[in-house]
Amino acid sequence: MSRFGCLGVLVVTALLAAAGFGLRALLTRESTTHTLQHSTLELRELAKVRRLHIYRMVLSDRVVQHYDASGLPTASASGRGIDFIGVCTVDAYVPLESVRFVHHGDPRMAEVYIPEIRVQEGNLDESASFTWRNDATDLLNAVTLAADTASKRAVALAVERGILDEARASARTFFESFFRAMGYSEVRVFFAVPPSGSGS
Amino acid sequence: MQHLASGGIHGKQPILRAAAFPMPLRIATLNSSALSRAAFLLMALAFPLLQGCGKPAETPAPRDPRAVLRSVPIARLAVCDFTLDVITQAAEDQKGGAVLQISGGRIPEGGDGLQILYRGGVRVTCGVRLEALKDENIRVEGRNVTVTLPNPDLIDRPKVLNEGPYRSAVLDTKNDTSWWLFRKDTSGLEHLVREAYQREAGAWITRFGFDEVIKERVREVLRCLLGGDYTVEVNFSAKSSMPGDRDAK
Repeated sequence: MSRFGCLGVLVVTALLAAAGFGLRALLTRESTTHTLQHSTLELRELAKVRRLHIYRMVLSDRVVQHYDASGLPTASASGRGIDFIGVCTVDAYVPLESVRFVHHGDPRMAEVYIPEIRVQEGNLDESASFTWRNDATDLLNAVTLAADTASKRAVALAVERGILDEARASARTFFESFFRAMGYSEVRVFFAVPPSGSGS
Repeated sequence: MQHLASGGIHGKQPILRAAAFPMPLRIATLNSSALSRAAFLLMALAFPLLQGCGKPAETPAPRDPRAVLRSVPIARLAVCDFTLDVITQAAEDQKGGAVLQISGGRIPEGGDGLQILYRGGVRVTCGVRLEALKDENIRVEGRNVTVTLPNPDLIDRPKVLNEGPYRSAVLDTKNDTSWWLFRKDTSGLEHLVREAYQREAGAWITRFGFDEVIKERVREVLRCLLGGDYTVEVNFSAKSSMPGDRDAK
């Protein structure tokens, strides 16, 4: 074989080897998106939790309800009624089974993708709730209805008060700290954009 | 072979003279057949792809839990902010302080003292100071690890919020029968309420279950960090053996 022929074989060999390494890197890159279940020991343990309780908000809601002479609720501000302060706790959590993380070859950098934060129904704290004024005829029924109203409005009120933003901030802090504890020096946290009008 | 021995060793003849080699040795030379060249090139392509395949799975030895917890920055994992939107009934007590309904205070009924329905926001930061975790807080018995921690407590001074949705305001008053022009000034009582918020927010950690949220989180974090190797039990005690905890209060 001529000198040029040998050189050609060497060049082609080098090119093929480079292509092989490139192909391997490409294949590896495609497989670096993980769920927590398919990752390191610590993250697999975290995935077992399923729900990460990320935030709790305490809300007070003022429910004013008037009753007519026959004892039925009325929109009119006159007559007997109740002025009830309902205190509720509302919790937000991250569904961990939907959390994804990606690393792009650099073992020190991780990107964490967190799905929409979920908000649970409000829990009325009966011991903290109270009536400011109450001259309704059926006291017990009036309190029960007002407490029910406060519970049902709690999630909407929590969203209005910014529970989703607070929960995202808390989740960001948690996941950044957790992945740093895993040895990643640079952690980026991304959130799914919540559908419009969705709060729970 | 004789040619190789005589020529190669003495260095007077070209070392790679393919024509003089038997067939197996020819593959190693650059003057080989098209088939062997193709095989060589395929091996060059396949080597990087197959590199690392077939390595036996390594089973790491269990890590020392004390070393693990010392080596990772876990302090922020056990701390959380909470927000309270508080509407409370408040009255001035006999000692010149405010008594709040939300803190379980007994609001005097039927008295002629001024009462207000006050709205305010409070932010509390509470958690467990894991950065002060010492080796004596971690007990290892075989594959069982017991971590003893103090109860969650306030990490920072509570902040009374007064902007946006948390703008404080007097929503209503009671026992103020004077004419509107001569309405009693509520600013003194409002100030007392804000002071009471700061003073009593520590008790709200337990009252509204923030401590349970923190405890749950700490258990999960420690189980994640050590759970692969050990069965982890986390206990919380009212008395802290961790230095720095007293300073927080």
